[in-house]
Amino acid sequence: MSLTVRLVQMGLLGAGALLALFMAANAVDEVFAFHMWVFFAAAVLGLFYMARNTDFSGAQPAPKDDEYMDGVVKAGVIATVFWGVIGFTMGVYAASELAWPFLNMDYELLNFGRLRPVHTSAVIFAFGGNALIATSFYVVQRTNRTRLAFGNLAWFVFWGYQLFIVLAATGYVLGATQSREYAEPEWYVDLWLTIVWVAYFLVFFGTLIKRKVSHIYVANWFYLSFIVTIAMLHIGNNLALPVSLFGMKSYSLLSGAPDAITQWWYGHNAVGFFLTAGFLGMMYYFIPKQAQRPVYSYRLSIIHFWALIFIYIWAGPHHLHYTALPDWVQTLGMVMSVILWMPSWGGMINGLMTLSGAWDKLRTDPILRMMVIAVAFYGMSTFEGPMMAIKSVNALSHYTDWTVGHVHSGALGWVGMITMGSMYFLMPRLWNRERLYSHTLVSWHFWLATLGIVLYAASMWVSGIMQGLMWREYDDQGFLVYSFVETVEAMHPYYVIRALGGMLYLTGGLIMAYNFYMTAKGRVRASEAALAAAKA
Amino acid sequence: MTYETVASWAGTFGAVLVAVFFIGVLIFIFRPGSKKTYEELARVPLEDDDIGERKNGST
Amino acid sequence: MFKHEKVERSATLLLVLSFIVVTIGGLVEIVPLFWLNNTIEKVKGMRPYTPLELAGRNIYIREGCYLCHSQMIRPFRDEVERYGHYSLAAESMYDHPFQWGSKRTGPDLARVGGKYSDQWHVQHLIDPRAVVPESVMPGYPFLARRELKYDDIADHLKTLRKLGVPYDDDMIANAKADLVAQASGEETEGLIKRYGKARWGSATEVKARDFGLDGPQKITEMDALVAYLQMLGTLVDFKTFDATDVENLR
Repeated sequence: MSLTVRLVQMGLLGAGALLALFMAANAVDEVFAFHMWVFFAAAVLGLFYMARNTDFSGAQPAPKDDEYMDGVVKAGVIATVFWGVIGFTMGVYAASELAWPFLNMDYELLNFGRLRPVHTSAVIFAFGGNALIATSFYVVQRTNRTRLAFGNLAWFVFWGYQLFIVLAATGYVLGATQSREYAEPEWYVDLWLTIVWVAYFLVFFGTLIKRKVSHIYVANWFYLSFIVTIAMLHIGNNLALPVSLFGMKSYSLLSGAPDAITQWWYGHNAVGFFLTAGFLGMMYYFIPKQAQRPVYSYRLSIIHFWALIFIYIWAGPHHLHYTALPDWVQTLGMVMSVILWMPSWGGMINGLMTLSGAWDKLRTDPILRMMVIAVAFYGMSTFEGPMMAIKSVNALSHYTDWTVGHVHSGALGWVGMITMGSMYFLMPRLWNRERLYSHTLVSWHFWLATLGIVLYAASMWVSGIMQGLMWREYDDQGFLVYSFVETVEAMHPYYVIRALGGMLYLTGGLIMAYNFYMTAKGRVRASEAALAAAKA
Repeated sequence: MTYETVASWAGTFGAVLVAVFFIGVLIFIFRPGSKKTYEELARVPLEDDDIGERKNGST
Repeated sequence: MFKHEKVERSATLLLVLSFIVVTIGGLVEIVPLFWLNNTIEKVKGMRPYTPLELAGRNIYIREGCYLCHSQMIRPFRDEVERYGHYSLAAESMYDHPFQWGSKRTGPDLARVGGKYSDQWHVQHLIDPRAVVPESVMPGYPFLARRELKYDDIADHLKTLRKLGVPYDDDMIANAKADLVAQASGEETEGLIKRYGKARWGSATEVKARDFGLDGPQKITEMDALVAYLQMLGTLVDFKTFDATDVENLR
């Protein structure tokens, strides 16, 4: 990269640092001031790093066009594992607070209301988001046989995204929130994410443009639609007017019913495009790679793609059944949610049938097993979801733990498992190792995670349906049988089981982190080294 | 234009239109002539490992 | 003839087509809500939040109360008997952002106003299990200790006015005075003139008293939060609301 470009980048960082300093000096509240200092520190660190690594002699560095840009993917894998463990831990703690409320400690920074968004954002955006960015950078280079576009812009995406995560999480704990579920960060953090996301789009799309093959492989379509749709949803849902340009507080542009439908248009499609489309991109690349077989039907994948992205967007209103939202919107949302079942299962079949004729690999390959159970959970959740979107079912399930269980069978089962399978695929390849440190540990991870999900989902089914039924139970005199707090009391054993399930899942995540660390160091577990040698 | 007219249109003509469009898409995607193209396309991810001129990057 | 191959070969075409496809659903479902006149019912009694209630609402948001408490009663027999009249869209027309919620780990709060005493709320917020032994709610003792910051409360009203909430110049000019009056219960004439039932036709009068039970001179976050909780769902006069009126059929 030429020196001029480098100097312009450093100039931008310097200007950013000055702007942050100016904002911090004029801040009207502590959270805003603190966040501006974080911005300042990040910009100064970036500047310092770039200054140390720039060759000011003017010599042209050798172009690396014959290599893939894998450093940023490696960083993404590290970040995925790191944030995964953090996010699972936050989840276990928040779940434990519901089982044993003394854990809130009457301390504002630890209260459930502030930790819950830390957990959701950490797993969705930090763990899931880093996995999506890292794998999309890996896949788009491999399937298009070209290096990432726009030089070190990919590194800006990576570090800018980590900064977003830190700002969001610290903001929640300190009390900065828009109260929009899964879009809680305040206006200035949203603006920052917008900048990072545009850069992400440029890198991904630029790489597609300069590809060396004629066709764009289907995994890239899913990644592209995920990037574009999330941009649209993020901007649409976060329109707000700040009280002061130097303060954190803002008020949303819309109010009441229109605000609610906008939020759940966002909320549902964050699931549809962040947690589904993006991860389907992963499925369409990493399952064929790990199984060493092409995808079952490429034609089905085309239909899967267009039908999924068209129908998903309509399903948001099922989050607002029987509310003050107009009836016609609710009905439309319900119908489209039920139709959505079809493309979802088309995709599931496509993923599973990729293994047809190679089912025996499931016995010997724990990574493939992980990916396949992910697809199975995808199928289960995308059946359960449309069912819960039917108004009469929703009348029972809404506001209960059933919804929480549904989300987690999708998040832990589908998103978590396909991500961790892909991470296991990437680790030895990116660090140029023969193999993972241990396949036995992958098996352990698989079983702990699966058992954790089963405990989680089953306990939430029971507690959710039970609570829904208790709320509406009448005695023969025509009186409500249970006071609200009696239904809370009845939840206790299930909240304990749920926390236990989360702990098992977290333990699996820790085993992955250990396996990853040893793989990066180039070690192979002693007993397995002998086994591998014996086979060879 | 009232809500009722839009709703009745969507429930009849609109639904048929979308169904026909979807069936058209199916026929188009599954037309026999395209089999070879798609089979090649499906192999794209499997053939990206040993591509001589390009290697896993260090940075 | 059009070939899907073209889409597969052109990144830009893929981008444009998929963007068009993902916008349709949102346009159809969201945009009509702004002009269809049957989205929000005609009701009497809705007024903007007083400065103190608004400050309390911001604390409600800050502490993430919406994660466990809904503010949306569905039109079912059990919910109406448990919580009160089902929620109307009009009742959240000044809510930037809405607080309907999605989960009831605790009960719905859409009509909690007036159901319990201030004393109960303060005790319950400080130590929930002292009042309701089976509760899993976190304690919020720090709210009673922390003084409310309200120097910029007029700016909050101004911001909301830009978004369409009917705060007038008088309300903005007197925002701080109204907040102090409501939290202390003293010199409340101006407050009642601006937010009272005579002006807005609300079902209940603006409540002004020492909500936090910490002395009228000390205005804490507890004062603001309890003031907000005590007005929730008390504005609309359901004696004048006719659900069968053709205007209100949704």
